[in-house]
Amino acid sequence: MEKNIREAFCNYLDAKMEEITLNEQQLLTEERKDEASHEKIKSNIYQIFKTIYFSLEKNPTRTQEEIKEQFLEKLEAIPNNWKIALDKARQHQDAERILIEEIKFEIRDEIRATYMRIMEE
Amino acid sequence: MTETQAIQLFKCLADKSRMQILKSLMIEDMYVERLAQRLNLTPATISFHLKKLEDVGAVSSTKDQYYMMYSLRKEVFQTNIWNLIQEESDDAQKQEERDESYRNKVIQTFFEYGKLKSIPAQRKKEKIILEEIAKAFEQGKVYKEKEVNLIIADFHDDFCTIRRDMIGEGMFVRQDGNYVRQ
Repeated sequence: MEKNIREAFCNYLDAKMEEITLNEQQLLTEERKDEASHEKIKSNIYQIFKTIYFSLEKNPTRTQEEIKEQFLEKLEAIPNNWKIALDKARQHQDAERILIEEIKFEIRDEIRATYMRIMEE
Repeated sequence: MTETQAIQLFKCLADKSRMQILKSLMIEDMYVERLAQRLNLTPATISFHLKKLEDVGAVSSTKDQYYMMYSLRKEVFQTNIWNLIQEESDDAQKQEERDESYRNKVIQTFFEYGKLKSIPAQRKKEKIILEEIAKAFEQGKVYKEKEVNLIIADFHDDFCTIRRDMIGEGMFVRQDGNYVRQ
């Protein structure tokens, strides 16, 4: 069961990162460098949460429930600074920063939803 | 158009999405959602590109009831590239452009949305940020210390250090306990 959760979540994150790398390459060949760098940001967010999840998973004394609780906490805590940056950017109508911060939140939300779905399956 | 402006414009245009936006704006003025629909990109991505195009003067925006309408600045695209290349920039102008570019870089690094993030340790950089803050003061006007502090505090909490350094740089002269902007 635990192994299935880990495998399913890992497969999901890896598949997403692979898909994003392909998108990034495609965008670069189309001379859409900025959009390609936005894809890179997405990939970094998947990588951050993958690292966090597996560092929590590494500890053999933690139960799945404990991992879930701590992972969900991290999914909330890490974006605190993004929220500050997003609010500031909105206040100053900084379209560039708004987009970047929104991308990060979009990926975080997607990761959380997928993780919850895997846990419930 | 200066050499630096031309380089910034060309850099900005070297992107397929931005070229697509410009092509759409050649047809007519458009707002973000319309461009997003037309080019199959998200409105946030369109806004991102429009901001870049606006920064280099390629497009302009005007508020039209509920929407921000974007238009192509045709005069920018009617500039003759041949003339741009032929135009010689003299040494003084080149130096001025380098100084301006350095100045902008320092300001971008140390300011965020008009607030000073930290006081630079390097004197050259600090002078630039002090000059930037000094723009908030009227030349020749006499200010009370409290007024000076309040204005500086809008930029950074350590108004004492900044006020003292502004005097040190000759931006203010103390007169009977008041401060005169030079």
